[in-house]
Amino acid sequence: MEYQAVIMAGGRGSRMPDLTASVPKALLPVGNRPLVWYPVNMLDKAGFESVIIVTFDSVKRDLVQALQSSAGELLIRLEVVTIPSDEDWGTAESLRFIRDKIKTDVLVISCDLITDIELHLLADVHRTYDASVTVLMHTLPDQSTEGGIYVPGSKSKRKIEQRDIIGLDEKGGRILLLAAQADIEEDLTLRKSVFKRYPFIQVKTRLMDAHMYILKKWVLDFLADNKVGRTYSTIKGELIPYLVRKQFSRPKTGQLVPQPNSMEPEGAQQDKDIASYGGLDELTKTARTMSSWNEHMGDMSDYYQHGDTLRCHTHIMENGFCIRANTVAAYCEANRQITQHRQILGDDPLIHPTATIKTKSQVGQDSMLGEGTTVCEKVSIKRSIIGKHCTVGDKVKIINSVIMDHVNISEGCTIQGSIVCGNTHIGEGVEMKDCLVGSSQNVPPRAKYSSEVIGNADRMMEI
Amino acid sequence: MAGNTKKNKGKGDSILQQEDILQAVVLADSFNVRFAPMTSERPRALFPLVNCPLIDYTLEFLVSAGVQEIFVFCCSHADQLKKHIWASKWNHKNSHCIITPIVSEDCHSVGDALREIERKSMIRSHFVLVSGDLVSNMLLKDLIEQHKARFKVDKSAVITLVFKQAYPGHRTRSEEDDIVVATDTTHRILSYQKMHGKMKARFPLNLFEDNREMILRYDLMHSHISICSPRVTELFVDNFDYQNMSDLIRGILINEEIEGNKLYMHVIEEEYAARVTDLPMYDSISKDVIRRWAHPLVPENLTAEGEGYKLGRHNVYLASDVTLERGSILQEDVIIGQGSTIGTNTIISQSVIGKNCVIGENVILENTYIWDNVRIESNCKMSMVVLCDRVRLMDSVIIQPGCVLSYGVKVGPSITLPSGTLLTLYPPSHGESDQEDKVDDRHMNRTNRQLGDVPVDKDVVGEEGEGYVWQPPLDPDDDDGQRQQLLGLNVSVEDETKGSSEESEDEGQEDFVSISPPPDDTRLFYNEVIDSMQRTIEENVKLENLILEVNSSKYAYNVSMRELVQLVVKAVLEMPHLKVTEPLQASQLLPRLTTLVHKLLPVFRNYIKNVESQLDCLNALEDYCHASRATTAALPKILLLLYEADVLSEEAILQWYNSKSSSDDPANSANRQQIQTQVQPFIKWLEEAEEESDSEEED
Repeated sequence: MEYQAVIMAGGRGSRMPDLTASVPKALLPVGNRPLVWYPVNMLDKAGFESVIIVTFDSVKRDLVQALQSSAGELLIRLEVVTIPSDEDWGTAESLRFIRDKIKTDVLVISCDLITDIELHLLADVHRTYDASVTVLMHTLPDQSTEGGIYVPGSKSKRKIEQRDIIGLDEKGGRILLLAAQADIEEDLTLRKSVFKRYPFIQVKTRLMDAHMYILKKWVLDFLADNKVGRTYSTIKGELIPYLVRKQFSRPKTGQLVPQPNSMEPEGAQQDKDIASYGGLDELTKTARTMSSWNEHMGDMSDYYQHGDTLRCHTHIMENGFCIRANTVAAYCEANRQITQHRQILGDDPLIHPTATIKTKSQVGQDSMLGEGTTVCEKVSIKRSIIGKHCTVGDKVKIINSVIMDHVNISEGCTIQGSIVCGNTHIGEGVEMKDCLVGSSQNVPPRAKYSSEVIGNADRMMEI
Repeated sequence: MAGNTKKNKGKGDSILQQEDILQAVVLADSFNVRFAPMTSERPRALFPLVNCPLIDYTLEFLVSAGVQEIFVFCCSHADQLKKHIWASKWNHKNSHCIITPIVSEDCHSVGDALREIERKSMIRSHFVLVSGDLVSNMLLKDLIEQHKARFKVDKSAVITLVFKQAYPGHRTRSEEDDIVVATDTTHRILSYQKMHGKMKARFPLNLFEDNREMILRYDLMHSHISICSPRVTELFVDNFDYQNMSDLIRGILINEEIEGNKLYMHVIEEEYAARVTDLPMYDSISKDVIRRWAHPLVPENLTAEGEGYKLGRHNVYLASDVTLERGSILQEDVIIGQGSTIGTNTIISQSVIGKNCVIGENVILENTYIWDNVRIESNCKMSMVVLCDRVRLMDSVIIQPGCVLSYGVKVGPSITLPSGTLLTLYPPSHGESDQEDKVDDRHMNRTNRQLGDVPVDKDVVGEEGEGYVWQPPLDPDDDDGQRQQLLGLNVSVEDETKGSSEESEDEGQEDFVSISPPPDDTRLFYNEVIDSMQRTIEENVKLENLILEVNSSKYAYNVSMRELVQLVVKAVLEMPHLKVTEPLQASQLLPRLTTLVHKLLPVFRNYIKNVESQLDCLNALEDYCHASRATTAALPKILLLLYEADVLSEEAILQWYNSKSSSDDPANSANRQQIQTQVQPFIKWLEEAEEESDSEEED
């Protein structure tokens, strides 16, 4: 087993509180499947035998149930590790928590990632460069094409998110610089020594970190044992920037050679420099001294000549489908696009066999109907996803919307660009545009809404 | 280009024809004195580089690139340049290029020159701007087309700068041209920074906001070939403070939003381009030419017909009329000019020898550049040396690397010139009287006659020698404050080690910041106090203001009175150490501290009032002594000083002296022991003085 896979499903979804108030983020439906199903399915397809899912105590039962019910065909063995529900742990903290279970290099995926990447591409980069950490990046589409999108439940247009500034080497594989735009006050500074080694640096600002990482085993040791590493709580925000920065610092003299066979007490080892973690194991060392392999040639010569053990690499997805459903806008986008990427969803038909569509109703090719859903007459459904056991009354129009399970829409409604959470009843003739309806709501008949959050009033201010 | 012109001529369309002429401006003056004293008789552009005047390389490059009209801008030694150009092969009737020298002796910078050009309105269209010390074999035609096409679309694309790809450590990468360039994907230059002497490059955040992709490059060398639109000269006129191209580049980049002008870059990888900006560059470019990197600019193509260099194995070039005595060895990369003679058993490698030189027997020359009419007698030995015209070395002269012997200097016999010696025929007083020795040579010729008024230093140049050590003038105009770089003195190695040590320091600091909690308030307070004190001393601010500042800092950082006293005392003790690089000795420290204490006495009086605060003050002194040895040595005197100034009372001092060390740390108590022995004589004196006063009272 080369890699162990970990899915981080312990996020609060704090960037979309209106949605996660009723459903945990990992279980939010996208294309009528829980969000966490996507990474699990991807790993399953790639041939992983087991996966560790880190989630909250309270979510565990629902999560296992949801995964098993929504996809009985999964062969992968699920190992769910729970963290206390009242803690708000970052990804690095979670990783530290499951450290004992990790025996090899580890593939860390966030539960909100939906992508059709072939995992071996990332692993290839990791193997080729013997990288300490390999990051999956995705080129964001041009802002101009999505400038006019309204976010359900929000008056303002979609904000431009703070981007990362990422510096890559000439070939575009190694990460030389990583900084969040928000963290820089005025100037970005770059040391001359970096330039001396990498005189050609490409800087990209339109890359999105997909939150999929392959980490070397020793990085986990560093997270758990090192006094710097122990202070980190997130992989993206703290660990990766630190590793990128540390690529160009030389180890302090004295710590360069960890003394072999010395029976150091645990405490003394904790102050090891990060460079000493990445050292070669004894077997590799012996193999190298005894073979005629010349490390100063070819593609890798650059690394070995400089003796750097810490290498951060990346695989950039130029095209293909990659989206992180971590905001309301991204969640809508994911639902909108998922029907166009059927290969991710598997072979199931978009319209469930048990769904009934009555005469003169139109359900577009780009829409989905869940199990047991009933669509009455003269209904028009376009670019929308409708969950299980919903009832859609006569002459309803649903465009560009997400309707979760057990929703009852009475006749004559027009629902456009909205999200309707589960167990909600919508009265006759309601018109809503770009709205977000909370779960178990009762929307009165003939009401008109635009860009509003309906229900969960106490949370309204947070958006 | 030429074909086009003819066609247009046929149509008789004079306007069109004019527009189609490609013009170039050559700045045949460097506007600096980096090559002094060699520039005293000759402008840099006429220096022989591999036995061919430098400017010929530039002109040849421009002519072969299709330039049809060249203006050569001459300032110093203009008459020489003019003569050279008139005599050159391009002045023949059948030359398809017109070269016009422009003389303007009152120009002091590139900016002045371009303003002059604008004033004379000689530029009609896009033109090529180069300096007169350029060696290049690149093709300009496509680049100019590119530039024009870009300009047609966007009138603000005023300049295309040509860069040569040269990785760090490249031979023709000049120290001062250490640059980082940021461009976008269309090769527009977004940032241009000189890195010389800097550890970090800075990029303003808005660059990243505006551009989704950028390329930061440190592998480039500015070739100083610029394709300029006609607007460039206007820009120089509009901004009369622009002195050189760097100013223009900086100005355009800074004012981009206001003026909207844009810079583009073109990178050449295979072709050659380099400038002779200083002696190390002179050395490396000479070698490149000998080794034929700048083909077709190679010796046999460049020199006049009659000389006829022949290329032998190992890049040995011999002119037609060279005499090689028996047993002389020309190892590699050697060129010997017409009429020169090499003596028996002489060994030469990687050197250039000019015309009509006579080299004696058993001479060893390595990396040596010998101009015309030089005589070297037997048994001389040298490496990394430049010998200008008419230099004469007597028997057994040894010259160590990095020496330059200017025109007509005589050295020897049997003497060794130490590394980095610069010799000239002009006595030093005159050399200094006119810093800008480049300005005119007539002045220099006059001083020539005064030779002999000043006695020659025989210890330097030898019994029969003639010449004076030339001191490089301190040149405040030199933009990077860098002294003349000496040939062969390997400055870069030193730089490297310095750089890395600084870097690790820097790294350490970064670690410090990231691991440790934010600096505590006392530390901040302490820094504030030191700053205030420094300001007070330097700017002679009233002491009341200092007290006020310290008080307000106390509240800002929430420091207790006790800490305040201790920190203020420590700050005073720290002050003398701040401005010095080496640790001070006690003897040096004391006078500084004395004046300081006298100046700051009111401050002391303000804070140190009762015995308790005096004790705090003493403890602070003791603490500081742990850190500084010099202070420990000076401690008794400091105590005496404060005692006499009535800041400390006997009572407090004795109480402090007798008190036990508060901590159990053995190291601490050892320190204390040491301090106690240090101050013992003073305490003794103090006790005696006390007794005396007591006894007096009794009387």
